[in-house]
Amino acid sequence: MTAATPLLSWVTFAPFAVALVLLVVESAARATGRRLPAELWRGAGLAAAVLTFALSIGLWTGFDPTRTGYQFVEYAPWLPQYGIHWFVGLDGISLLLTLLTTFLMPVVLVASWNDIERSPRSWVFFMLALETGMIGTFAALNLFQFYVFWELMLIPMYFIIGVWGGARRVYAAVKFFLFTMSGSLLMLVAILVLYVLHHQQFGVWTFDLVQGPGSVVQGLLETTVPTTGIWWQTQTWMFAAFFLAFGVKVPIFPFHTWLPDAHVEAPTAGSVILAGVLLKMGTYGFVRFALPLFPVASVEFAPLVFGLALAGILYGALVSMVQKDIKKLVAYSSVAHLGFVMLGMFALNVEGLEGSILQMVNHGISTGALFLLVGMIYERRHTREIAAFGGIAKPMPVYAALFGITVMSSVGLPMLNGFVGEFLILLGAFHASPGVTAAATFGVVLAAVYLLWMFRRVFFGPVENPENRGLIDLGLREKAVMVAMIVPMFWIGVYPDTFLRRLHPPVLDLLHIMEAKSDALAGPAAERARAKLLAALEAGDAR
Amino acid sequence: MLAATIALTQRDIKRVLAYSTVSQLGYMFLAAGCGAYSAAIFHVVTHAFFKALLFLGSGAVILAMHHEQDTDKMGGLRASIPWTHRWFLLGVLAIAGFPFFSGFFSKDEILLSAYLAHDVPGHGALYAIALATAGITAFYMFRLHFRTFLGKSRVEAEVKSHVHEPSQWILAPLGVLGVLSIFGGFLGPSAALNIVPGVDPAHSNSLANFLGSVLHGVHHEVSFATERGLAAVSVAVAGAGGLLAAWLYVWKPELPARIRAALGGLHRVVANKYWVDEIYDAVIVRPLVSLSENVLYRGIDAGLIDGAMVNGSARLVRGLASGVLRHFQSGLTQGYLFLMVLGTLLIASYLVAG
Amino acid sequence: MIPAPDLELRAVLPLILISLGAFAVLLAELMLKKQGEKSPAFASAVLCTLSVGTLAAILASSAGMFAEGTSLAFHPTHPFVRLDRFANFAIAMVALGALLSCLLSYYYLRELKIDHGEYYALVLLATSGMILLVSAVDLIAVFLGIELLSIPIYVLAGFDRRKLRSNESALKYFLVGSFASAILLYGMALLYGATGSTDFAAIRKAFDPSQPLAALGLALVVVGFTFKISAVPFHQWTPDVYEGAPTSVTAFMSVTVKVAAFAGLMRIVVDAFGGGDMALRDVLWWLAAATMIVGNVMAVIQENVKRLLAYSSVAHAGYLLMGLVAGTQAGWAAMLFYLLAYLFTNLGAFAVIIALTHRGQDADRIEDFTGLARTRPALAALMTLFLLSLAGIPGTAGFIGKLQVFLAAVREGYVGLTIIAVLTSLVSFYYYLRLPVVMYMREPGAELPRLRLHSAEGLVLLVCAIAVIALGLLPSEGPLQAIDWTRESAAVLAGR
Repeated sequence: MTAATPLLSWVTFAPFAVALVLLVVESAARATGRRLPAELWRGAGLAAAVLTFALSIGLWTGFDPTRTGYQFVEYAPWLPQYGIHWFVGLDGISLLLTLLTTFLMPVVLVASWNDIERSPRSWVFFMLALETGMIGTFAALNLFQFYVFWELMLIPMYFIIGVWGGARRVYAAVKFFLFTMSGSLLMLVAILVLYVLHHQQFGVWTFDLVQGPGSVVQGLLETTVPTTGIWWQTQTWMFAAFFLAFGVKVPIFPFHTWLPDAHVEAPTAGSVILAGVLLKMGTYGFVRFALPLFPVASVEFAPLVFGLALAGILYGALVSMVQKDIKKLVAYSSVAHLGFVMLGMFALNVEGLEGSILQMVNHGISTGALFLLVGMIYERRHTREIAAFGGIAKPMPVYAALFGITVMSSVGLPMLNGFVGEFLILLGAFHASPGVTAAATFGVVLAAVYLLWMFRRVFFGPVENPENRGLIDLGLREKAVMVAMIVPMFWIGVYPDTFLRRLHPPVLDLLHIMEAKSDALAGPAAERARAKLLAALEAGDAR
Repeated sequence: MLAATIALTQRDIKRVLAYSTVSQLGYMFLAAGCGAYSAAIFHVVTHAFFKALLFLGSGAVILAMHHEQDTDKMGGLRASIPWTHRWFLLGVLAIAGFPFFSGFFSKDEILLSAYLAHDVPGHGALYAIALATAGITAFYMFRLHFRTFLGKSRVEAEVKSHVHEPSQWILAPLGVLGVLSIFGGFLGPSAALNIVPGVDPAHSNSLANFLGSVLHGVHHEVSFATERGLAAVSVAVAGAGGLLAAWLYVWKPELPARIRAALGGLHRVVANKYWVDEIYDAVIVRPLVSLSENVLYRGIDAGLIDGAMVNGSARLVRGLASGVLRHFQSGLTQGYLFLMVLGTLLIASYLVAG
Repeated sequence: MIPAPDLELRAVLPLILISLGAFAVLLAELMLKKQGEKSPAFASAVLCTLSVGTLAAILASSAGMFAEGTSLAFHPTHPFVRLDRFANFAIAMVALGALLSCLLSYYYLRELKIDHGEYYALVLLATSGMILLVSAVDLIAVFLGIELLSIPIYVLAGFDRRKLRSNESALKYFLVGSFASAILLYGMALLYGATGSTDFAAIRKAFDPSQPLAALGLALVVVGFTFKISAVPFHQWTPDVYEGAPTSVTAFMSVTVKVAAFAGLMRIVVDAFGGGDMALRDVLWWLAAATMIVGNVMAVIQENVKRLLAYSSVAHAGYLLMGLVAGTQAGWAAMLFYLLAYLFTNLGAFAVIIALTHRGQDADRIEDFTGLARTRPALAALMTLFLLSLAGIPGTAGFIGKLQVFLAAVREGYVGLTIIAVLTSLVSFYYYLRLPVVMYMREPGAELPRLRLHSAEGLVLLVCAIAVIALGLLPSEGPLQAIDWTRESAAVLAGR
């Protein structure tokens, strides 16, 4: 269903368009020996981000939660003889993630207003470019387009870490880049194989995932990817290639080691966006591509993923516990949280998937908020060592309160967003494997351990370090930013239906597609997959 | 039971109350285990009343004592903070199970359920333990009260002059909770014990009726006489506990020290809370932290994954370049030509043969 | 009466044009000698303009012929040279590459004080060889083309006579190149012996790979070419020569010689050997894999930018060979596009290096780029763009090139090779990113780089940047319908 006005494209390109305009004006100014003031760039950047957010609200309100399929679809030729089109559309999943992106960006720009002293113009430019890249990735329904935007996002992020980051920023930036690239490149090969397979089966060249409006070409989703045969044509290998690409991004244990470095060395705003949105690209990729394209392999791999997810949950939590740097602690906590997301996802049932996707959003908000908070204290004391603090609640009570709420959200306290996601995930995972779920629940306990222990050491007790006595509490700008983050925590925690409602149709749809595709294949693996998915669907329908 | 015995030996006001809470929670689980779900919930409610009262009251005491929590340094505070003392006393009575206060009803319902739970193995022993604990509860609560408010004052001189009643803001909630502790039990008194005149027995326990539609507990038939008899027994036990406390801490305050000396080791075990916390720390916490720090963080994350695989692969490439391949690039033309000849031979032989 | 041979002179029109241009430059240099002493800038400008003009004319004529789709053979039965769409496309690329490098050379030569007029003549002569090579359909023509293009470049490599490195690179190139030419010639002789003709079409008919003489001939001819395209293990001259030669020469070489050599190789393999049998494809497979691996791995440890780009050049040869391995029309079209993308990207990168030449010194070490983002932000950004295109980031021409080549390989089932390509690409990202790291993430040193950008250099940079982005985003829309052009060229090639 094609949209009348290309709202989605507007939302996607608004940030970069503004960035380009600013660049052109700046270049013109420089040619005459002048420069645009940094404040102008910052203000324009913020305006662009807010505008994008406002437009995305339009997407939200215009979205019909009862319909399955994609909405706001746009389809335009790009390289038609290759089957590459500008093909975008949103379903409930991408809608939520797009909104997360457009919501976080203005928050981050406001939060980093005074943070960035060097090259603020480039900063704004890269952030806006990054936003366009992220939204483009979420909205893409053409695999080539998805790949392009996926890779394009790496460049701004690389610069953001490398130029404005901490002491080891270069190492972290290069590590981030190469790590992510390694998976992506293998995925490219898999995409090409899929492309060729599709051509063999349908006689057309296309990268479209589903049939585009006004097109007679079947999408790649229709391709039957065999489970046996030439090794590089099988679901197993192709899923593995996609798994590597997305798994690095998520990050799944043991591909996670880029994350602590990248998060710690990145500037605060960079960490927030990295944790808030970029990590979700990995999980999104699984849900949008890896699962529906290779359902049999997904089911076959599920136990492995479960194991790795569990490892991530426990490992991430335990390693968090012994961190001395707050930011690194939060970084490792991301590994744990996303372990939960993967756990729910590969339970391959309705609750698990819904919980998983909701938790993606939750993590974006909670961990994003945590990074913002860490940034605030870093701005004041230029250290993030837990040992350097103690009793901060006394000079900074507002900060302590907001930090406390955020910690609770991350732990998964009922009434806050974390609980809803975690509960759904555990519920879903329980159907798949009670044992693993029991162990994973222990991870919830561990989350409380490392977060609350850190919280106590930082905020409570006597103020020992004299440098902490004179700390100034949050200013208006910082408070505004935190309030913006806390409102969704409560909203999702208390009334998650607003969001879950929009997730239900696409999740069901996904399971249907997976089941149908498994059905089309022969062989014991396919049978198993089909049985499992059917069971999940029936359980889902019964609800 | 365990918690109650620990509470016996504690000196800090709040510690006593804390372990008391643990003990009371045991009661709730006992009720649930015997199928008396509404009794458990009932006890949750009444416990809320009197425990909150007790904690708030202890807070008032601590405030008055300028943040002193050790009862060893208290005593004779009745004169200085009379209202606090009165409300606190009501809380103590409630938890002990003074007839017709809230604790009385809820505790007895639980004891009754244990007594009647024939399908639970060892229910007789459970009943006995619960009954004994009731006595211990009364004992340590009165002990606490007496050590804090009665007897000779052991308060330090500088503090003594500043001891005063807390403000209305604190006394008012104490009052509210006090009233609830006294009358809250009438939320769901068992018909046998209900002294309110003219109540239909079936409607006596309003709480149970309210919850009955949701919680389907086990129901035993019992006569009013048995119930009342059991209630009397528990009151007697509690009363004995209270009296014993009075004897040891009011009339003969020198005795506890001697008993403690006599019991020596046993006292130490209990006073150290059976070292449960220490055991947890040694067996679970420390190994876990050590595991995480050394094995997981340093060993696997930094060492194995990052070191060996990530950085290792980078070193491999670099090593290949500088260690192996670079040597072929000698800069000497002869070397180049030689390699070219070699390559030519390879290609030629392959194509000619194949 | 001797019957006049039925020669189609228009088929060699570009050759004639460029030779005339070269002689014109030489003559003009003689005539301007007096002037040259008074105002050297004027003399160089004239010569440069002459060369650029000649090349522009050739570019225009090839483009025009391409559009028309005409195919001209020099001789009806023994064509020797065929000016078809494929040839025209390649000629256009070569001319464009030469044109842009002439523009780059203008200030560079003056900066390095090697502003001798013969330079442009040599460039034009080398280009003539390239033109001959890409349109050759006869072994002799191929050889002539290769020699004609190589010898001027040997001289050009050593153009900076004062520098040891330059002389060394010229000598090395000459020695190794002659060696390779010898092998090539010997192979051609064997082929002639085996097939009885030097004409591609005839060879195609008579070629029998099971015959040892023919197979050996094929092997040696292929080896001769692999030298020129810098495939492993015949690549070792590349880093030394690229590093030693004056940068404008390196720029010229790296781009145009590659285009010409690959075009020639394609022509031979397809026309004369029908795309190659499995044995040849196997050989090419191994060549491609080894080239990609060695090229990329060695580049990791380089500190000199020109040397780094040399190894990168080797690596790209590996990717290009994938197209030959695929052995399909799609593969050849992919190679042509890749060459086009590579042309602009590499020239752009070298243009930046040239733009930084300061006080007679080449800015060819990585440290010379430190903090460039602060001192010359536009240059830093452009260099980053070109490096990203070399690496193959989506949105750049390089990505589309790689994509096409990978696709062609995957279609024919060469997934293993594609995976090797992809993994070595990953390695390449590391060393391509080293410059942006140094430019953006380090503070500039005390010494400032050159701040002025000359108009010619600016023009080249602009053209290359626009091309890289345009080819990356819209390779088949608008004015640059590169994908269509490459397809048509490949079709023509295959149509034999």
